[in-house]
Amino acid sequence: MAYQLVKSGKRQKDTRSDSQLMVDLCGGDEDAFSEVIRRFQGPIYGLLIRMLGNEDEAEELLQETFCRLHRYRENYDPERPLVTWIFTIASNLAKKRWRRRSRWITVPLDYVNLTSPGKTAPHYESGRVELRASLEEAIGALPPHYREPFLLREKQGMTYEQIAEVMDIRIGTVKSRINRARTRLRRLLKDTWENWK
Amino acid sequence: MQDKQGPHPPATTSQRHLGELEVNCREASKLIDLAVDGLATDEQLQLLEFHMMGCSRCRSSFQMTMDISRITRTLSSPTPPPDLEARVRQRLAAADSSPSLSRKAALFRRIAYGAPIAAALLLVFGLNTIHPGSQRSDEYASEAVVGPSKEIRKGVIAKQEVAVAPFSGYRRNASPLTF
Repeated sequence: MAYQLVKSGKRQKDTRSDSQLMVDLCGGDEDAFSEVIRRFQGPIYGLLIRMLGNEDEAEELLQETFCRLHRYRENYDPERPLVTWIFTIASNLAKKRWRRRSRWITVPLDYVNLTSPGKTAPHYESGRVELRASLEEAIGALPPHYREPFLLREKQGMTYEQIAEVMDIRIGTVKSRINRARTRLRRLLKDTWENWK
Repeated sequence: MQDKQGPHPPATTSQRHLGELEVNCREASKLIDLAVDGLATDEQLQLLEFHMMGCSRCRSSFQMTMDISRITRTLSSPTPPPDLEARVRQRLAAADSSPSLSRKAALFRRIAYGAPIAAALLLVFGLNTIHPGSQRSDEYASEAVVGPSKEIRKGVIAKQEVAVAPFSGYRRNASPLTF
């Protein structure tokens, strides 16, 4: 394909928009599907693993998300952003999985990267690492219906409207859930934050 | 004393604005979210700043929320499996090669979900059609003919109503759906 020129062993960056990729995929361009996977695998895997707390399940649902995207590609409306559509698929799969488990899940800290990229005072950085670890733990302790909108807002940078679309809830509900998630996190992290500050 | 000085002078512009700038902590919490998300208007920011000037708790909440938001954005993102695309394509190929299997699975799923719903509907209709209290009402009628006084009869009926099975007593007043 013209978009997939191989130059000095590295694949050239695909400049097509998300919607264009889906249009091309519907037209039979399988390279477009590869690009969709490449673009969205990280964010979706990050959300799923934090929602499910289990690598195996997150991987399985990640595969299923892309399988569904491929299977139902004709249903995609190019006028709407692909990011909300694909996150809606992943979110629905995660919800199904919770219903099957019927209990709250705490995310293990196995995957937490405790390296500190900053170059500031060591005591400040050690506090920061501790705060990051505590934050991971606190996010894992949030109920899923608070955790999901919070992560979509903070990690994916989605707007309230997009989150409402992904979760199929009203914007007011999104706002109140994010507000409650933050309130809980403040309560859980108060001591750690006071020490770090 | 007030009479000597006359009526209070009208509030100055700054005083009027100070009164309008008051929000409580609950409202401030919502404004904190908007401010952290960068969605607060200038007026809302002004309200929040004014509130935080006199409320150390909300000031602390605001700083903490900002820090939580900033650090959450920098949390590590787990790396997806390197062979993801190959696995997805494998799954798609497997699904394409055995469409009848997926159709069977869909049918089985429909039965699995449908059976409990059908059972529940049968139970609801069954409770509506069966009248376990009808026999008892005949007994009451016979007691009414040969029984003693009205008051005693009422007492007997009341006691019996307590003693009988719950469905017969509730039948007239409540639908089985209310259980």
